[in-house]
Amino acid sequence: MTDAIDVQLKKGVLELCVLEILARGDSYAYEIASQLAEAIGMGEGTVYPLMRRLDVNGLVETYLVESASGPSRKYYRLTREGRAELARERAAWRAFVTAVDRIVGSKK
Amino acid sequence: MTAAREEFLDRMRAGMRGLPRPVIEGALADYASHFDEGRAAGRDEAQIARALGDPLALAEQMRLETEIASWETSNTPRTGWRVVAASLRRVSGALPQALLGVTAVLLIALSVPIAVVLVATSVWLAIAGGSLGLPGGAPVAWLAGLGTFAAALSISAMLGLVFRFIVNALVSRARRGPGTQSSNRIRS
Repeated sequence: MTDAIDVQLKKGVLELCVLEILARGDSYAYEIASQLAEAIGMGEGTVYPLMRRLDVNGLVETYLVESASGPSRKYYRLTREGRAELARERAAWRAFVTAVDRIVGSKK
Repeated sequence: MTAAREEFLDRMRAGMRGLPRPVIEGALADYASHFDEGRAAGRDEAQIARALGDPLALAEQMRLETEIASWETSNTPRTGWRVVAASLRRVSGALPQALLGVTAVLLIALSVPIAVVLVATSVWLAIAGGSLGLPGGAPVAWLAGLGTFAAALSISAMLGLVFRFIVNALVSRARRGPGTQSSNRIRS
């Protein structure tokens, strides 16, 4: 049961986390996946369907960068809509955490 | 030494069967380059495949995202239906999704016979109603036929709205866990 809750929680914040990572600087999927796997134990593969959706919805755009060793990398960059969406999701997340903390964190 | 990579990509491809070719090729290219990056970082393929997760579940996720995108581009019964089908296929689909999906299937399955019966009744009343000996004769029978037809129209319109609601519910379930769903209702 705890596992199911865990999965749902991660699924809910995955998009927010990806947008936050991209707000710090452009990145490519492998790097984003590694960061999320390390930080919240997310399966690395789930980043790809999400990146596709963000791209289709116009929240990110992609460009290729030639790399010295190996094939070129597809970088993701936040668009203006992506930044606006990040601001909305961040506000919603903060409000949610504050509200939950009021219940969970209060020890009588 | 490429067994894990090949197996992962093959299963992924099999799971995405039926999706538009560019989507399939794009996804496979993304996962292939994930293996390349992982190898370059010194990981072995079996390890990379394990960290990626179940390729079939990922394929279903890709399918759901793709169908949702076409539903959002154009709200038609066809695209809506595909969202329902993709939600039902999903390996990791939870109970609420399954219930919503089954409701949508029942709704569509029921709406067809209901519409056929009502439309047939209305046509029959309009054409043959006069010879039934109903009080009021042919004009009343014709009006009754018209009324039944209007009922059929309004029922199908309502079913359409319910179907649309169900598809949108599936979309938001696919997108967010319960945590952030509630957070949308909190005014900050």
